[in-house]
Amino acid sequence: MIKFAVDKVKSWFSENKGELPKIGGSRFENALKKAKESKDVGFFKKIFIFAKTFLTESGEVKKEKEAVKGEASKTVEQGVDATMADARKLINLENVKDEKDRQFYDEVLAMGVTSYEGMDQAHQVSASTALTKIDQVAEGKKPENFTFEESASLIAVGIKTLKQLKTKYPKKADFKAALDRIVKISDSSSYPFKKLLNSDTLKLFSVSSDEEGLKFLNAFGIQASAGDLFGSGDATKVKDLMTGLGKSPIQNKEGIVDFMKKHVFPTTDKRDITHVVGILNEMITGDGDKLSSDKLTDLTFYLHDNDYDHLITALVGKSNTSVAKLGQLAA
Amino acid sequence: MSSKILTLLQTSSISDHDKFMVRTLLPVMKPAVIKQIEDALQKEFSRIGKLDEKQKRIELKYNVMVEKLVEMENKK
Repeated sequence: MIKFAVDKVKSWFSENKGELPKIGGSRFENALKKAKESKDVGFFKKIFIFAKTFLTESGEVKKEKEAVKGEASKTVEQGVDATMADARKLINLENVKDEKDRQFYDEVLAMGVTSYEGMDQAHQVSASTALTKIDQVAEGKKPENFTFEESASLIAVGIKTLKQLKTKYPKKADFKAALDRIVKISDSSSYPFKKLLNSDTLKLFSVSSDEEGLKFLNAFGIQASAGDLFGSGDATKVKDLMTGLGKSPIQNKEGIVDFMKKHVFPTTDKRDITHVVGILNEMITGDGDKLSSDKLTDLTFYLHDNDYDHLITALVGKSNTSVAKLGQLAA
Repeated sequence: MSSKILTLLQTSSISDHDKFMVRTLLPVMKPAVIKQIEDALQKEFSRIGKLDEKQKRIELKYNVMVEKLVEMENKK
Protein backbone atom coordinates (compact mmCIF):
# COMPACT_ATOMS: atom_id res chain seq x y z
CA MET A 1 0.00 0.00 0.00
CA ILE A 2 2.73 2.47 1.00
CA LYS A 3 4.79 1.58 -2.08
CA PHE A 4 1.75 2.16 -4.28
CA ALA A 5 1.04 5.54 -2.61
CA VAL A 6 4.68 6.65 -2.87
CA ASP A 7 4.96 5.58 -6.52
CA LYS A 8 1.69 7.27 -7.44
CA VAL A 9 2.61 10.55 -5.76
CA LYS A 10 6.13 10.39 -7.26
CA SER A 11 4.90 9.92 -10.81
CA TRP A 12 2.20 12.56 -10.39
CA PHE A 13 4.74 15.07 -9.06
CA SER A 14 7.07 14.25 -11.91
CA GLU A 15 4.27 14.89 -14.46
CA ASN A 16 3.48 18.27 -12.92
CA LYS A 17 7.07 19.23 -12.11
CA GLY A 18 7.06 22.47 -14.11
CA GLU A 19 3.77 23.63 -12.59
CA LEU A 20 4.56 23.17 -8.91
CA PRO A 21 6.75 25.30 -6.66
CA LYS A 22 9.96 23.50 -5.79
CA ILE A 23 10.02 21.81 -2.41
CA GLY A 24 13.17 20.18 -1.19
CA GLY A 25 15.89 20.42 1.39
CA SER A 26 16.99 17.90 3.98
CA ARG A 27 13.96 18.47 6.24
CA PHE A 28 11.59 17.55 3.45
CA GLU A 29 13.73 14.54 2.43
CA ASN A 30 13.77 13.36 6.06
CA ALA A 31 9.99 13.67 6.32
CA LEU A 32 9.55 11.68 3.10
CA LYS A 33 11.92 8.99 4.37
CA LYS A 34 10.21 8.86 7.74
CA ALA A 35 6.71 8.64 6.22
CA LYS A 36 7.86 5.86 3.92
CA GLU A 37 9.46 3.90 6.77
CA SER A 38 6.47 4.33 9.08
CA LYS A 39 4.12 3.56 6.20
CA ASP A 40 2.30 6.86 6.81
CA VAL A 41 -0.02 6.87 3.79
CA GLY A 42 -1.79 9.96 5.21
CA PHE A 43 1.34 12.06 4.69
CA PHE A 44 1.43 11.29 1.01
CA LYS A 45 -2.32 11.78 0.67
CA LYS A 46 -2.06 15.24 2.23
CA ILE A 47 0.90 16.26 0.02
CA PHE A 48 -1.11 15.09 -2.96
CA ILE A 49 -4.19 17.10 -1.89
CA PHE A 50 -2.10 20.25 -1.25
CA ALA A 51 -0.49 19.99 -4.68
CA LYS A 52 -3.79 19.35 -6.45
CA THR A 53 -5.38 22.33 -4.69
CA PHE A 54 -2.42 24.44 -5.70
CA LEU A 55 -2.74 23.41 -9.34
CA THR A 56 -6.50 24.04 -9.39
CA GLU A 57 -6.14 27.50 -7.89
CA SER A 58 -3.18 28.35 -10.15
CA GLY A 59 -5.18 27.14 -13.14
CA GLU A 60 -7.96 29.57 -12.25
CA VAL A 61 -5.45 32.43 -12.08
CA LYS A 62 -4.02 31.37 -15.44
CA LYS A 63 -7.52 31.40 -16.96
CA GLU A 64 -8.20 34.85 -15.56
CA LYS A 65 -4.87 36.09 -17.01
CA GLU A 66 -5.81 34.71 -20.43
CA ALA A 67 -9.15 36.53 -20.23
CA VAL A 68 -7.41 39.81 -19.32
CA LYS A 69 -4.94 39.32 -22.19
CA GLY A 70 -7.86 38.60 -24.55
CA GLU A 71 -9.64 41.81 -23.56
CA ALA A 72 -6.49 43.93 -24.00
CA SER A 73 -5.68 42.28 -27.35
CA LYS A 74 -9.22 42.91 -28.60
CA THR A 75 -9.08 46.65 -27.86
CA VAL A 76 -5.55 46.97 -29.27
CA GLU A 77 -6.52 45.13 -32.47
CA GLN A 78 -9.59 47.33 -32.88
CA GLY A 79 -7.35 50.40 -32.67
CA VAL A 80 -4.88 48.93 -35.16
CA ASP A 81 -7.75 47.94 -37.50
CA ALA A 82 -9.13 51.49 -37.42
CA THR A 83 -5.69 52.93 -38.27
CA MET A 84 -4.95 50.41 -41.01
CA ALA A 85 -8.44 50.29 -42.60
CA ASP A 86 -7.69 52.43 -45.67
CA ALA A 87 -4.30 50.86 -46.41
CA ARG A 88 -5.63 47.30 -46.02
CA LYS A 89 -8.52 48.10 -48.37
CA LEU A 90 -6.08 49.50 -50.94
CA ILE A 91 -3.66 46.56 -50.77
CA ASN A 92 -6.33 43.83 -50.31
CA LEU A 93 -4.72 40.71 -48.86
CA GLU A 94 -7.89 38.59 -48.93
CA ASN A 95 -6.17 35.96 -51.06
CA VAL A 96 -3.28 35.55 -48.61
CA LYS A 97 -4.39 32.57 -46.54
CA ASP A 98 -1.38 32.01 -44.28
CA GLU A 99 -1.89 33.93 -41.03
CA LYS A 100 1.85 34.42 -40.42
CA ASP A 101 2.26 35.86 -43.94
CA ARG A 102 -0.69 38.19 -43.40
CA GLN A 103 0.76 39.42 -40.12
CA PHE A 104 4.19 39.91 -41.66
CA TYR A 105 2.77 41.88 -44.59
CA ASP A 106 0.56 43.86 -42.25
CA GLU A 107 3.68 44.92 -40.31
CA VAL A 108 5.39 46.10 -43.51
CA LEU A 109 2.19 47.86 -44.55
CA ALA A 110 2.09 49.61 -41.16
CA MET A 111 5.60 50.95 -41.87
CA GLY A 112 4.27 52.24 -45.19
CA VAL A 113 1.29 53.86 -43.48
CA THR A 114 3.47 55.76 -40.99
CA SER A 115 5.84 56.77 -43.80
CA TYR A 116 2.90 58.09 -45.83
CA GLU A 117 0.91 59.73 -43.04
CA GLY A 118 4.03 61.29 -41.58
CA MET A 119 4.14 63.65 -44.56
CA ASP A 120 2.07 66.81 -44.83
CA GLN A 121 -1.22 66.71 -46.71
CA ALA A 122 0.14 68.12 -49.98
CA HIS A 123 2.79 65.38 -50.21
CA GLN A 124 0.22 62.72 -49.23
CA VAL A 125 -1.99 63.86 -52.12
CA SER A 126 1.02 63.74 -54.49
CA ALA A 127 1.88 60.18 -53.38
CA SER A 128 -1.77 59.12 -53.84
CA THR A 129 -1.87 60.61 -57.33
CA ALA A 130 1.31 58.71 -58.16
CA LEU A 131 -0.33 55.45 -57.01
CA THR A 132 -3.38 56.22 -59.15
CA LYS A 133 -1.09 56.64 -62.16
CA ILE A 134 0.50 53.26 -61.41
CA ASP A 135 -3.01 51.75 -61.38
CA GLN A 136 -3.70 53.38 -64.72
CA VAL A 137 -0.54 51.85 -66.21
CA ALA A 138 -1.67 48.43 -64.94
CA GLU A 139 -5.02 49.00 -66.71
CA GLY A 140 -3.16 49.60 -69.97
CA LYS A 141 -3.64 53.37 -69.93
CA LYS A 142 -0.84 55.87 -70.52
CA PRO A 143 -0.99 58.56 -67.85
CA GLU A 144 1.38 61.54 -67.88
CA ASN A 145 4.76 60.97 -66.24
CA PHE A 146 5.05 61.81 -62.55
CA THR A 147 5.54 65.43 -61.61
CA PHE A 148 8.50 66.18 -59.33
CA GLU A 149 6.17 66.30 -56.31
CA GLU A 150 4.61 62.93 -57.18
CA SER A 151 7.98 61.22 -57.75
CA ALA A 152 9.51 62.81 -54.66
CA SER A 153 6.58 61.91 -52.39
CA LEU A 154 6.41 58.32 -53.61
CA ILE A 155 10.19 57.86 -53.35
CA ALA A 156 10.14 59.40 -49.86
CA VAL A 157 7.46 56.92 -48.71
CA GLY A 158 9.58 54.11 -50.18
CA ILE A 159 12.80 55.28 -48.53
CA LYS A 160 11.13 55.78 -45.15
CA THR A 161 9.58 52.31 -45.35
CA LEU A 162 12.92 50.75 -46.33
CA LYS A 163 14.59 52.55 -43.43
CA GLN A 164 12.06 51.11 -40.98
CA LEU A 165 12.45 47.66 -42.55
CA LYS A 166 16.24 47.94 -42.15
CA THR A 167 15.76 48.84 -38.48
CA LYS A 168 13.67 45.68 -38.01
CA TYR A 169 16.05 43.52 -40.09
CA PRO A 170 19.54 45.01 -39.55
CA LYS A 171 21.33 41.93 -40.95
CA LYS A 172 21.64 42.00 -44.74
CA ALA A 173 20.60 38.33 -45.20
CA ASP A 174 17.50 38.82 -43.02
CA PHE A 175 16.61 42.02 -44.89
CA LYS A 176 16.91 40.26 -48.26
CA ALA A 177 14.78 37.35 -46.97
CA ALA A 178 12.16 39.86 -45.78
CA LEU A 179 12.13 41.56 -49.19
CA ASP A 180 11.74 38.19 -50.96
CA ARG A 181 8.84 37.40 -48.65
CA ILE A 182 7.23 40.77 -49.39
CA VAL A 183 7.56 40.20 -53.15
CA LYS A 184 6.06 36.70 -52.85
CA ILE A 185 3.12 37.72 -50.65
CA SER A 186 2.46 40.85 -52.70
CA ASP A 187 1.64 38.62 -55.70
CA SER A 188 -1.71 37.97 -53.99
CA SER A 189 -2.36 41.66 -53.25
CA SER A 190 -3.67 44.56 -55.30
CA TYR A 191 -0.14 45.94 -55.54
CA PRO A 192 2.20 43.12 -56.58
CA PHE A 193 5.80 44.29 -56.60
CA LYS A 194 6.08 43.06 -60.18
CA LYS A 195 3.46 45.66 -61.08
CA LEU A 196 5.26 48.40 -59.18
CA LEU A 197 8.65 47.60 -60.62
CA ASN A 198 7.91 46.77 -64.24
CA SER A 199 9.43 48.94 -66.95
CA ASP A 200 6.13 50.65 -67.85
CA THR A 201 5.67 51.79 -64.24
CA LEU A 202 9.29 52.90 -63.92
CA LYS A 203 8.89 55.01 -67.07
CA LEU A 204 6.50 57.19 -65.05
CA PHE A 205 9.57 58.43 -63.15
CA SER A 206 11.15 59.86 -66.32
CA VAL A 207 11.48 63.61 -66.09
CA SER A 208 8.83 65.05 -68.39
CA SER A 209 10.24 68.55 -68.90
CA ASP A 210 13.23 70.78 -68.13
CA GLU A 211 11.09 72.55 -65.55
CA GLU A 212 10.43 69.28 -63.66
CA GLY A 213 14.10 68.34 -64.01
CA LEU A 214 15.16 71.62 -62.47
CA LYS A 215 12.94 70.95 -59.44
CA PHE A 216 14.94 67.76 -58.83
CA LEU A 217 18.23 69.65 -59.16
CA ASN A 218 17.01 72.43 -56.85
CA ALA A 219 16.09 69.80 -54.27
CA PHE A 220 19.76 68.78 -54.12
CA GLY A 221 21.04 72.36 -54.02
CA ILE A 222 21.83 72.87 -57.72
CA GLN A 223 20.52 76.07 -59.25
CA ALA A 224 20.24 76.86 -62.95
CA SER A 225 22.40 79.83 -63.91
CA ALA A 226 22.94 82.08 -66.90
CA GLY A 227 25.69 79.68 -67.97
CA ASP A 228 23.06 77.03 -68.56
CA LEU A 229 21.68 79.10 -71.40
CA PHE A 230 25.02 78.49 -73.16
CA GLY A 231 25.40 74.89 -72.04
CA SER A 232 28.07 75.51 -69.38
CA GLY A 233 26.08 75.96 -66.13
CA ASP A 234 25.82 73.48 -63.23
CA ALA A 235 22.36 72.30 -64.28
CA THR A 236 23.64 71.45 -67.77
CA LYS A 237 26.64 69.59 -66.33
CA VAL A 238 24.40 67.50 -64.09
CA LYS A 239 22.04 66.81 -66.97
CA ASP A 240 25.02 65.53 -69.01
CA LEU A 241 26.18 63.40 -66.09
CA MET A 242 22.72 61.87 -65.66
CA THR A 243 22.59 61.14 -69.39
CA GLY A 244 25.84 59.20 -68.93
CA LEU A 245 24.28 57.23 -66.06
CA GLY A 246 21.65 55.93 -68.48
CA LYS A 247 24.19 54.75 -71.08
CA SER A 248 25.56 51.25 -71.52
CA PRO A 249 28.45 51.19 -70.77
CA ILE A 250 28.15 54.01 -68.24
CA GLN A 251 29.87 57.27 -69.18
CA ASN A 252 31.93 59.43 -66.78
CA LYS A 253 31.26 57.15 -63.81
CA GLU A 254 33.79 59.00 -61.68
CA GLY A 255 32.06 62.33 -62.35
CA ILE A 256 28.70 60.82 -61.41
CA VAL A 257 30.14 59.39 -58.17
CA ASP A 258 31.68 62.77 -57.26
CA PHE A 259 28.34 64.49 -57.91
CA MET A 260 26.44 61.94 -55.81
CA LYS A 261 28.95 62.30 -52.96
CA LYS A 262 28.68 66.08 -53.01
CA HIS A 263 24.92 66.47 -53.41
CA VAL A 264 22.96 63.25 -52.84
CA PHE A 265 24.77 60.91 -50.42
CA PRO A 266 27.17 63.14 -48.43
CA THR A 267 27.75 60.65 -45.60
CA THR A 268 28.06 57.45 -47.62
CA ASP A 269 31.59 56.24 -48.38
CA LYS A 270 32.70 57.05 -51.95
CA ARG A 271 33.52 53.39 -52.64
CA ASP A 272 29.95 52.43 -51.66
CA ILE A 273 28.54 55.20 -53.85
CA THR A 274 30.47 53.67 -56.77
CA HIS A 275 28.55 50.41 -56.18
CA VAL A 276 25.27 52.34 -55.91
CA VAL A 277 25.95 54.13 -59.21
CA GLY A 278 26.69 50.77 -60.84
CA ILE A 279 23.38 49.35 -59.61
CA LEU A 280 21.46 52.44 -60.77
CA ASN A 281 23.08 52.10 -64.20
CA GLU A 282 22.06 48.42 -64.38
CA MET A 283 18.53 49.36 -63.36
CA ILE A 284 18.22 51.99 -66.07
CA THR A 285 19.89 50.07 -68.87
CA GLY A 286 19.29 46.44 -67.91
CA ASP A 287 16.65 44.13 -69.34
CA GLY A 288 14.09 42.02 -67.46
CA ASP A 289 13.58 42.76 -63.79
CA LYS A 290 14.55 46.37 -63.29
CA LEU A 291 14.78 46.20 -59.53
CA SER A 292 15.28 42.78 -57.93
CA SER A 293 15.33 42.18 -54.18
CA ASP A 294 19.12 41.58 -54.50
CA LYS A 295 19.65 45.02 -56.02
CA LEU A 296 17.32 46.73 -53.56
CA THR A 297 19.11 45.03 -50.63
CA ASP A 298 22.52 46.12 -51.95
CA LEU A 299 21.28 49.69 -52.46
CA THR A 300 19.80 49.80 -48.97
CA PHE A 301 22.96 48.53 -47.30
CA TYR A 302 25.50 50.53 -49.34
CA LEU A 303 23.84 53.78 -48.26
CA HIS A 304 24.73 55.30 -44.90
CA ASP A 305 21.72 55.65 -42.55
CA ASN A 306 22.19 59.45 -42.38
CA ASP A 307 21.72 59.70 -46.12
CA TYR A 308 18.18 58.26 -45.90
CA ASP A 309 17.16 61.37 -43.97
CA HIS A 310 19.23 63.57 -46.29
CA LEU A 311 17.36 62.16 -49.30
CA ILE A 312 13.94 62.52 -47.66
CA THR A 313 14.73 66.08 -46.62
CA ALA A 314 15.85 66.94 -50.14
CA LEU A 315 12.77 65.39 -51.73
CA VAL A 316 9.93 66.37 -49.40
CA GLY A 317 11.39 68.74 -46.81
CA LYS A 318 12.78 68.35 -43.30
CA SER A 319 9.39 68.37 -41.54
CA ASN A 320 8.47 65.16 -43.36
CA THR A 321 11.35 63.03 -42.07
CA SER A 322 9.99 62.74 -38.53
CA VAL A 323 8.12 59.47 -38.88
CA ALA A 324 11.20 57.71 -40.18
CA LYS A 325 12.79 58.52 -36.83
CA LEU A 326 9.73 57.54 -34.84
CA GLY A 327 9.64 54.32 -36.81
CA GLN A 328 12.84 53.26 -35.07
CA LEU A 329 10.73 52.70 -31.96
CA ALA A 330 9.33 49.72 -33.77
CA ALA A 331 12.62 47.86 -33.55
CA MET B 1 0.47 59.48 -23.68
CA SER B 2 2.53 57.65 -26.32
CA SER B 3 5.50 57.09 -24.02
CA LYS B 4 3.19 55.58 -21.40
CA ILE B 5 1.90 53.11 -23.99
CA LEU B 6 5.47 52.18 -24.95
CA THR B 7 6.24 51.52 -21.27
CA LEU B 8 3.08 49.45 -20.80
CA LEU B 9 3.89 47.41 -23.92
CA GLN B 10 7.13 46.23 -22.31
CA THR B 11 5.25 44.14 -19.76
CA SER B 12 2.00 43.53 -21.64
CA SER B 13 1.01 39.95 -22.42
CA ILE B 14 -0.49 40.78 -25.86
CA SER B 15 1.16 39.13 -28.89
CA ASP B 16 4.46 40.37 -30.34
CA HIS B 17 2.63 41.17 -33.59
CA ASP B 18 0.11 43.41 -31.80
CA LYS B 19 2.95 45.10 -29.90
CA PHE B 20 4.84 45.76 -33.14
CA MET B 21 1.74 47.18 -34.82
CA VAL B 22 1.06 49.56 -31.93
CA ARG B 23 4.70 50.73 -31.72
CA THR B 24 4.82 51.33 -35.47
CA LEU B 25 1.43 53.01 -35.86
CA LEU B 26 1.50 55.06 -32.68
CA PRO B 27 2.74 58.25 -34.40
CA VAL B 28 -0.23 58.24 -36.81
CA MET B 29 -3.00 56.93 -34.56
CA LYS B 30 -5.94 59.21 -33.75
CA PRO B 31 -5.95 60.54 -30.16
CA ALA B 32 -9.19 58.65 -29.36
CA VAL B 33 -7.61 55.36 -30.50
CA ILE B 34 -4.46 56.05 -28.50
CA LYS B 35 -6.59 56.74 -25.42
CA GLN B 36 -8.52 53.46 -25.85
CA ILE B 37 -5.30 51.48 -26.22
CA GLU B 38 -3.70 53.18 -23.25
CA ASP B 39 -6.76 52.50 -21.09
CA ALA B 40 -6.85 48.84 -22.16
CA LEU B 41 -3.12 48.33 -21.49
CA GLN B 42 -3.34 50.16 -18.16
CA LYS B 43 -6.31 47.99 -17.13
CA GLU B 44 -4.40 44.87 -18.20
CA PHE B 45 -1.35 46.02 -16.24
CA SER B 46 -3.25 46.54 -12.99
CA ARG B 47 -5.36 43.37 -13.32
CA ILE B 48 -2.33 41.22 -14.17
CA GLY B 49 -0.55 42.79 -11.20
CA LYS B 50 -3.42 41.75 -8.91
CA LEU B 51 -3.46 38.24 -10.39
CA ASP B 52 0.31 37.97 -9.87
CA GLU B 53 -0.27 38.85 -6.21
CA LYS B 54 -3.01 36.23 -6.01
CA GLN B 55 -0.66 33.66 -7.53
CA LYS B 56 1.99 34.54 -4.96
CA ARG B 57 -0.54 34.02 -2.15
CA ILE B 58 -1.49 30.60 -3.57
CA GLU B 59 2.19 29.61 -3.68
CA LEU B 60 2.73 30.88 -0.16
CA LYS B 61 -0.27 28.92 1.14
CA TYR B 62 1.04 25.76 -0.55
CA ASN B 63 4.53 26.22 0.87
CA VAL B 64 3.22 26.91 4.38
CA MET B 65 0.99 23.83 4.32
CA VAL B 66 3.77 21.59 3.04
CA GLU B 67 6.19 23.05 5.61
CA LYS B 68 3.71 22.39 8.39
CA LEU B 69 3.17 18.82 7.24
CA VAL B 70 6.92 18.21 7.00
CA GLU B 71 7.41 19.65 10.47
CA MET B 72 4.71 17.41 11.93
CA GLU B 73 6.13 14.33 10.21
CA ASN B 74 9.66 15.07 11.42
CA LYS B 75 8.38 15.52 15.00
CA LYS B 76 6.75 12.09 15.05
